[in-house]
Amino acid sequence: MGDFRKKTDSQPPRLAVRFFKWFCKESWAEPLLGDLEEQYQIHRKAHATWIANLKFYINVFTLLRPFAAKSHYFNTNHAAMLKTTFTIFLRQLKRNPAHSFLTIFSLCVGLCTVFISSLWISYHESFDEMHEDASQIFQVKRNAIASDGTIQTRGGALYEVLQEAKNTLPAIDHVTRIISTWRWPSEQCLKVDESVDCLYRKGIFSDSSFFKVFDFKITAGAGNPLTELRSIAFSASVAKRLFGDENPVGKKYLLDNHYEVTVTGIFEDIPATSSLQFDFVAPLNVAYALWGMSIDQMKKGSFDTYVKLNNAEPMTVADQIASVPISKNYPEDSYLLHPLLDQHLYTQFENGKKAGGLIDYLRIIGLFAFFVFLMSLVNFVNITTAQATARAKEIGVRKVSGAQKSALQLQFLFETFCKVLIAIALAALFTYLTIPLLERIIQEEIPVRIETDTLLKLLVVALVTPFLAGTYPSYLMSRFNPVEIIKHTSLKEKGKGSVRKWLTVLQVSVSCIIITMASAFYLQLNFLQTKSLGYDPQGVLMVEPTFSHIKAFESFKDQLRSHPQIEAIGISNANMVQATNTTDQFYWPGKSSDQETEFKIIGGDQGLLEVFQLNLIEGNGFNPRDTIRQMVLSSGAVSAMDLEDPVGKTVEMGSEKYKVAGVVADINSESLHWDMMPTIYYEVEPRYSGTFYVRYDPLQPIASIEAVEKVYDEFEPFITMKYKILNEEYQRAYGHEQMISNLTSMVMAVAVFIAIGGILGLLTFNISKRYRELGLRKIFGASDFQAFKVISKEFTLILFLANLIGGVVSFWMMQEWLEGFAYRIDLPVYLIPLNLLGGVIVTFALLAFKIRKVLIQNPVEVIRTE
Amino acid sequence: MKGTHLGEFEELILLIVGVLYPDAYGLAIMQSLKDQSKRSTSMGAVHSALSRLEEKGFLNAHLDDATHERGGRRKKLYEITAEGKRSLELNRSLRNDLWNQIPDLAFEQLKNG
Repeated sequence: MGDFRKKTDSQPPRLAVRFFKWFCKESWAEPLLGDLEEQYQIHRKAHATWIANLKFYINVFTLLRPFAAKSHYFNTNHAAMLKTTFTIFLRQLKRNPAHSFLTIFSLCVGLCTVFISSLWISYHESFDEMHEDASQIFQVKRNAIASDGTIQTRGGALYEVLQEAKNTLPAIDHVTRIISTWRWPSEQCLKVDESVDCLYRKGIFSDSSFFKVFDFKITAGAGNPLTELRSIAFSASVAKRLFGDENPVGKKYLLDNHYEVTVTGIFEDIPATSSLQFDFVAPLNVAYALWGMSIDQMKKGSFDTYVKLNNAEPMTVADQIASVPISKNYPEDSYLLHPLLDQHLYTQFENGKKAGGLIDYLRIIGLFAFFVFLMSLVNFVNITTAQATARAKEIGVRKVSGAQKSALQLQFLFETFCKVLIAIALAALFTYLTIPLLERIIQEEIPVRIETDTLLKLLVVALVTPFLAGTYPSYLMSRFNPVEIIKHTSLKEKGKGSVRKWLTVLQVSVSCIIITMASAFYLQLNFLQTKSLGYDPQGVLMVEPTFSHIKAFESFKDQLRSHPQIEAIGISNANMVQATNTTDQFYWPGKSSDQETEFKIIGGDQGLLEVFQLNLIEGNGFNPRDTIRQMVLSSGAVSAMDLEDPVGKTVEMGSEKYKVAGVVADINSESLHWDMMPTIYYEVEPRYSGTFYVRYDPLQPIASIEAVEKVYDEFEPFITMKYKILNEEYQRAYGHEQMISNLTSMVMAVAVFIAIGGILGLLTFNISKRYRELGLRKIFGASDFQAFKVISKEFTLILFLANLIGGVVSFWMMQEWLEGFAYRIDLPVYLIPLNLLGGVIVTFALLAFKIRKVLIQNPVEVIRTE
Repeated sequence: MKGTHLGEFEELILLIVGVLYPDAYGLAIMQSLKDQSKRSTSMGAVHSALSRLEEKGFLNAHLDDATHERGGRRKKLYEITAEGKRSLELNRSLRNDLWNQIPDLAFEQLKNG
């Protein structure tokens, strides 16, 4: 219809005509267009052009009816089509097994990465979902404004405030307090008679509303097990270990060998996806009784507190809690209701709001997995289009015998779809097989849960992937010009080649990002684990004492010191790996009224200073014979207080007076995400200490531990000693980072693998395309090296460009991530050129290997090939 | 099998195809419809009625020879088939029948009123 191409005055609007031709059936197009045009000419004579044009448009739209619309696959035998397409697909697979393997395998690797990472991510996202009203459960966090103006979010909430809030606010259904420490009394040595070894299990102490807030299933016992004062409930597996097959309900049990409680209930074992982990639960007053504290002390004080709301807006409730009358006593506090469902994922708070935690790592892994998937798609596209020339003749013949573009596109999409299906099946199998291995490497469970949801997602992947992978190749291949193909002139490769090049650039730069980031993770973690803490973490034992040891601490200490391997022994109420107790309730001579500095407080004794190699810079340290309470300041604390000659001065902590007995260096007693804080060591009596720290000769670990065990048994012959090695605990404190580092290293390996596959694909294609050219060059006297240079030029450019892009992005990402650490490595910029170097070496090695095959052949043979 | 019922609009179109013989094509039918019945319709409505009538077998269609008008495009010309004629007659006799059955009295009173 060339008559519409030239736009003169009397032509109807072209856009409308094009639209009409697009939707209208071939058989109707001619008479209808004729009518339209005739009508248009009539209108042109009667009206202004724009009215005629408008009417033309209206007419076109009135013709948008089923009788005139194209029906695409009218008269096509679908079943026969699919069958031939499938047969051809199978033939293609067989004809070129290497190519088929490469495309399917690269997709499979990409999909496998996506599968595994999404299993891992959904596992972590499923935490705490087992409670029916999980979305209504919140932990009450307290936001307090610190001296430097920042808001500090803390776990504990004052009981009296929440008690009143519960009584006055209708939005709150239940409030429950939880005591869950990392050691005794939460950790108990469980056994029924004295002949068996201890079963160390962790438990919690809570209010009777505990089972109303949380949906942990009770399998035996009447109703709520926590209503009686001296009661306890065990998990099913622990109850079985303790009582065998007998019904444990109603049995008496001795906690700490002296406090009698009655078993009132059994609950199902707590699933691994609960952020609260415990094997027994007892009322709060049991914990207080074990501590030897009164019930009155229990009413004051702050606790980890959970509330269950009845569909109220948590922000409003938080404000309401801050405005109950009793809150006026604590004007600096505001509250944050932290959803239970976020508890596992968000553990860091900034400015009184959740800021991050494990979720950051889930996102990083998710992003990386997506990147790898993208790379595998790029590989697929590259290899398929590179192979397209081989199928050019097939396409040409099909076109000549009347295949339409759309039919060809459909054919190639269908082929891609088949390949994707194979890849999905293989990837599922692969995932299933590699998960046990992976679990061992990252030391974490990845449960495979197949739900309808999973299958639905899989279906989406199966439907979307073919389009992502197949659209461009099928578009390209269906547009080959049949005449050119059959004449065997060279295909116009220029435009297509450049798309492929850009895809390779994308792929290599993504792999560059992944490699750089994974290396940065590794370096930073390595740095943290080997960083000097201010003391030697090797050769320190953390021993859990029982009441007998605490009572007779002095003689325990003396007996222990008689062993030559034991160098020092000290006590503390804090976990020296993760000491997090801080306060600003300090008064010292010369403190300005507006100064509110937070200090870390650690209760200990002289022995603790020795164990942690805290050499006294000034003063003599704790003197046990002195009757006045004493404290030792870290040099950071001294400068924060701006004290001159601190030794002998009196500092008040809360309402108690302490005499400064010495100054020591700062050490790190917390995650290296944070800076060292000014620390104050105050004297505690053994009965308030939770852990004995023993420094032994690191060269004789076994003899040392045996010695400690021997002394331990003299005081507590029926209990197995429980101990931890400080260094191991310290490593464990970086569990997440360790796991992420392992995981990213694995993703990196996959990414490198795919990138190499991509480069190999492009290389093979380029060499095969320039096969004869290389032969000719050789005949005209080109040396092997010159021939090599011709091909390698393009790749050098790709590598440089990709490393530039990847370098910039990863530079920015590394900087962002490292800022989260108080102690961090210098930005490892050298990784970027290193990456480039690695890429160049690998590519050139592959190239040399591939090109050798051409160069060692007789050039005459090379030229002869078609 | 499509229904052979003839709607009112379809009947009009069918009649006009007869009137315009042998030059009945889409646009002419549409204009004639407008002139004779003062009914303004859209091009889509006319063509879709024509295609329906063709499917029912009341119309035959063929393309005429190309001319220089209409951008060189051929017209689609319609003719009534025997089937179409029968259907028209059926409609007409039904109508006549009904006319005859109306008692004179029914119209008498109108005059008086």
